[in-house]
Amino acid sequence: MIEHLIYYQFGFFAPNTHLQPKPDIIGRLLEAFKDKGFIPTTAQELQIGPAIKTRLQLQFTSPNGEWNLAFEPHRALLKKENVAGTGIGSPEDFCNEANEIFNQLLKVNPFTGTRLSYATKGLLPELNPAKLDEVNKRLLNHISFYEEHPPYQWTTRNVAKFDVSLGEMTETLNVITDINRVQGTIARDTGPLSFDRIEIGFDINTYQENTIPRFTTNHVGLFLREAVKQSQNIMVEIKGKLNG
Amino acid sequence: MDETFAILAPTALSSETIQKTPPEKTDLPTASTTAIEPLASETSTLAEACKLAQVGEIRRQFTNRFLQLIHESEFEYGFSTPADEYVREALNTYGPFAREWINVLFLENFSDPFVISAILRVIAHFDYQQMSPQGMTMAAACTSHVDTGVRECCVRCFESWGAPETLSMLRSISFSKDWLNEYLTNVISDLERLTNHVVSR
Repeated sequence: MIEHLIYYQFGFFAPNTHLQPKPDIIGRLLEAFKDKGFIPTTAQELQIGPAIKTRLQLQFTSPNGEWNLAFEPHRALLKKENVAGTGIGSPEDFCNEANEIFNQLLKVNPFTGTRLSYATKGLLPELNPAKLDEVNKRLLNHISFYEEHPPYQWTTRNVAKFDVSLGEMTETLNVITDINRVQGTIARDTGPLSFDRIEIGFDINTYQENTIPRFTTNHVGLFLREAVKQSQNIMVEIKGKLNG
Repeated sequence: MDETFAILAPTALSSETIQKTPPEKTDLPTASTTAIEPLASETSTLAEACKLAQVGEIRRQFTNRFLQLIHESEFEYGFSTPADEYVREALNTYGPFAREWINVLFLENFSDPFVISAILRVIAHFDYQQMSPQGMTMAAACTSHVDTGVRECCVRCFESWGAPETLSMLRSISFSKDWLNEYLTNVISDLERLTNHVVSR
């Protein structure tokens, strides 16, 4: 149903993930990610305020920018972006890769996670303007102004809690679904392509109030499989709603 | 005091590449969402947005001029080039920003052995600390570069810097070419001798 996937993202929240760009740390990670072809780099974190202050964040990235593993202050964030011409792959492929990458990472830096997250965003195929309005009507019950003047740009966000088993643990997940109508441009080999489409995003993550360090390597794959399953189930329902 | 940090991504200040990270001195974030937020929510005033835009413009000017000098300069080991002088000036004026601009340029041109080798030759002429940590991460990134000349340049960086703190990392590297491995081993030996000398003094 999704025609253009924008990104996949996996976050492993833990204290002390803000690894410093130091030679010994980089040496260990270069070794760990040798098969992935990741290279070390830094990104500047800017403090926005009266005086701009900077500090550096260590990242490992693929040379074409498709993959990025950022060591943020409270989470290690793996992101796969849709780089024009490379194809982003299936959610299952991403989960397998993320699982492998975090297996390697947690071997050399054994963080214990407090929270896990999976997010993805994509665009549906093009629809004509009447169809786009129709989608809005199927999802939202408008006040009279917007009934008379159908919105050409809109967002919806639904957040629900949902309990799942991750191995020996029962975890509460936030299951967030965004359905929006957005305009923008997509980078294509032939040049930027303007679009006006329905965007669907998922952000599935363990409940924010539970901050007990409890996640290890084994939980990464279990969580990702569960998150992908939930997002795919919801996607089927969205399809039914839009086509129904 | 709450400190809000945004990550300035390598290529542009777009909403897709700016990211909010949790305040350093507080507990874990409590929001349900973990997705990336747009820049609009990061800049509370127009003045702040303008400051960022100015930095972006200076970066663009620096990058263009540095690239031009790279293409005009003749790089020869042991000799300084106008590109070196330009970077020296930028480091004096813009400090850590200049190092990061070079890093961004490096990433953008990673597949171009000529530009990458030139950047490595320039940064090799500076003290390790002056270029740290970006100089070190750039050289480390090139240990797996497909171009042998680039890999040689990166070993030369570590040789030129003579920084014993890079030893642990250099020991984890190996190359497919024997002569390059031999060169690396010699650099490691020199650094070990340097470390022993410092300790024994």
